[in-house]
Amino acid sequence: MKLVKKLSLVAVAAAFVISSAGVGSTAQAAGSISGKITINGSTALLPLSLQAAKEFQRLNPKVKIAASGKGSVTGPQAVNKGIADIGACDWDASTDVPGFKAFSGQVANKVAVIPFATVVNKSVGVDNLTTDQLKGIFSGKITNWKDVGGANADIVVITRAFGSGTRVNYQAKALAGGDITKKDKNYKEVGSSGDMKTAVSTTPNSIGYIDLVYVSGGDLKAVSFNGVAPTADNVVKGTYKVWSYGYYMTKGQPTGATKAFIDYVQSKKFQDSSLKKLKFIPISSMK
Amino acid sequence: MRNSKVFSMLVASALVTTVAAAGSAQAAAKPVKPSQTVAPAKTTAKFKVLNSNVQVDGQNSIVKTIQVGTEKLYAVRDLADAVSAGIQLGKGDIQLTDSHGYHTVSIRPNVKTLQVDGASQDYTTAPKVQDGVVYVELEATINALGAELTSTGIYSQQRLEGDFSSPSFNDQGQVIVTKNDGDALQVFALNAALGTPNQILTSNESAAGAAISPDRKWGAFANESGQLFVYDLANGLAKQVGADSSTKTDLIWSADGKKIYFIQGDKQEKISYITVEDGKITELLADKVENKSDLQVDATDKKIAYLVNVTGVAKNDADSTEDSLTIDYTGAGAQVYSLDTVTKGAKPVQLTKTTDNKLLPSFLSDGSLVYVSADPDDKAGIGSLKNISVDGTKTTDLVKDIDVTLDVVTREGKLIVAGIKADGKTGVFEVSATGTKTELYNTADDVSEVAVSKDGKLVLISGGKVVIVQGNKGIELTK
Repeated sequence: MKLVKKLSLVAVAAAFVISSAGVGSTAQAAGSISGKITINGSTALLPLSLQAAKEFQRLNPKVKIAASGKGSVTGPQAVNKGIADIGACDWDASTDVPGFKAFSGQVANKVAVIPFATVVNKSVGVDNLTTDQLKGIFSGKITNWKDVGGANADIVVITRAFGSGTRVNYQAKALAGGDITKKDKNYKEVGSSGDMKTAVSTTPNSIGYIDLVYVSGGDLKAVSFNGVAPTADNVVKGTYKVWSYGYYMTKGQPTGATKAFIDYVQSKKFQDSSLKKLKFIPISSMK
Repeated sequence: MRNSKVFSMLVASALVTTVAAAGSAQAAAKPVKPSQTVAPAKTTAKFKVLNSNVQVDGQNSIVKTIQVGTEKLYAVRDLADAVSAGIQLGKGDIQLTDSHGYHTVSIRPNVKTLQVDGASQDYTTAPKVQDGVVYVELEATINALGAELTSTGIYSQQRLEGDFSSPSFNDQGQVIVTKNDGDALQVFALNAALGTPNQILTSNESAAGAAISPDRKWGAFANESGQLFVYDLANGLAKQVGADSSTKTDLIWSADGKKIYFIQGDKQEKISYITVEDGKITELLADKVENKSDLQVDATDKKIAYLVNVTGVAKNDADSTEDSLTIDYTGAGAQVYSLDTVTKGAKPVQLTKTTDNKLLPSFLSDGSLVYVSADPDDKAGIGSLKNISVDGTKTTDLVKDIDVTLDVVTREGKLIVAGIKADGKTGVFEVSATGTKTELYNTADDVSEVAVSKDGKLVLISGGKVVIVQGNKGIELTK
């Protein structure tokens, strides 16, 4: 641009300021987006969705966002049924995964990285478990802590119910595709991440698995996996393998308020600040 | 309208084209030292010398110019004076140094190449000498000095460019703001006065959007490990407070600056505070109600308010079949609660039950609460500012004649409200306890955040830019 076009030689005192009648912004004005967004699915992603909703609504007060959590599979199911706009899911539900067929026509929008940890009750004197040991425990072949270096006590297996994204990822990555076998005793299924934390914290000699975000407080502890501690740093470094992306599934490409909301969740502003404070890992960290 | 057209109109209407006319424009202008050896009244030069007004940091300056073909050239000494740059005559060159000593520029008369911090650049038109005055191209010279040329004038200091949020003021009157679009989130301290350098306060991403202490000296934040820090808003230095690593959100300082309250827990189910001096955490509420947010503390430190974000209820069968899945969203949404923190055994009190969006709850000085209400179900409706009485029994509209989008209560107790007016502009108002509005500023742009300094200065985020309001006019501190 020629310099003469950029400079105004003016004697107008107000020329340097944005006057009350200032030029319009090319950006979409705050509050101009309206509508309703419904989100259902992963309980692990629920705190993230609620935090993002709160921040997004401050910029767009006329967008109503209602969220619920019932396990990952109910996310794409709800989108499929048309009873939710966004299905929060701990796996890419547009592709087949063990136990679940792909949901055709759905688009997976990455929103977070979710590390998962093997957790045990604080009474358990074991700090590390290998893939084979975990496969043995969850398949029911190993039933006593003494067989994996602990005390002589029965192992109580606590698992998430069928349809849980945490369960899908744990089986695929910690158990290398191994089964979780239902047992008549020393076995319990729970319906949410919160229930898992409570169950492992209150059940002596128990073992379970949970999103890393929930491993604080309570009478439970995370154990290392194949000698690697379950930390966000180790996930980012690539040494800790039990993690997945969290997705917002949508019917086709998102549009309107739903797209604007997903864009906000994926923004640097949200990813590098609020998302991290909720102990998720930004998707950009995994490049 | 394109810049070039704006320029043409402005030049046509406002350009001061003669030496004689310059006097009339001088009244409002910043005094500039006379150009060296210039004798404008009786020039016999080839090019006609004009006295022109140039806006520098919002102030008028007079700069002599000549028109060389299609290029307007500016007297280098006048220009240096206007942007407060140093000027020295060297051996065959003129050396300019910006006022902060960051950039050195060497210009040779009749030579297209100039040296900028030791590197060569080219003018389009070589500097001309007339009557002992050296005239240079404006844009290249301004850029070389680290200043900024815009369609409305010159900023003697390059403004930051990008997307900004979370404005506040420190006790020195600097604007603390987060830049969102760099390689990492960064917190800057911007000077409200143009022409002064900006400072990166911290590159600690966790400090973005920190809670500002009542004396505006400290920002409080929790990092990704849940550990709480305060950092000095003058120099960015942080210190850890306590050692607890549970998840903490919605930090807010007590009025006396001795405590920091926060929502605590993986599911944001508790409310606690930490004593800044010793790092001791005290749990105020652990009622197992999840998804709390927007914590507020009243001026007496005896009452807190917060939102509970009620989720929908999803049900299915034991096999998680799609056919069995139902979701009831009718009860989903935010509700306002308060808690008496002094009375032993006091229980939270639910203050609202409606399904509208409830945003930005704040305590007023009298202990009542305000919040922005917006009802997406009401297509024709507009946002309003609701007021919940001190005893919690009555909710009324405090502002309902503009489409209210945000509210802020300052440390000094002023209620600031922004909203879209009937003419489509966004107005920022101070609102009295009875709802009387006094307009402080309005703009055709959006306003997403507002903060107020201790001396009443207003800063806002508009289209991602930081705008400071002086008088009733907004000055963009960033671009």
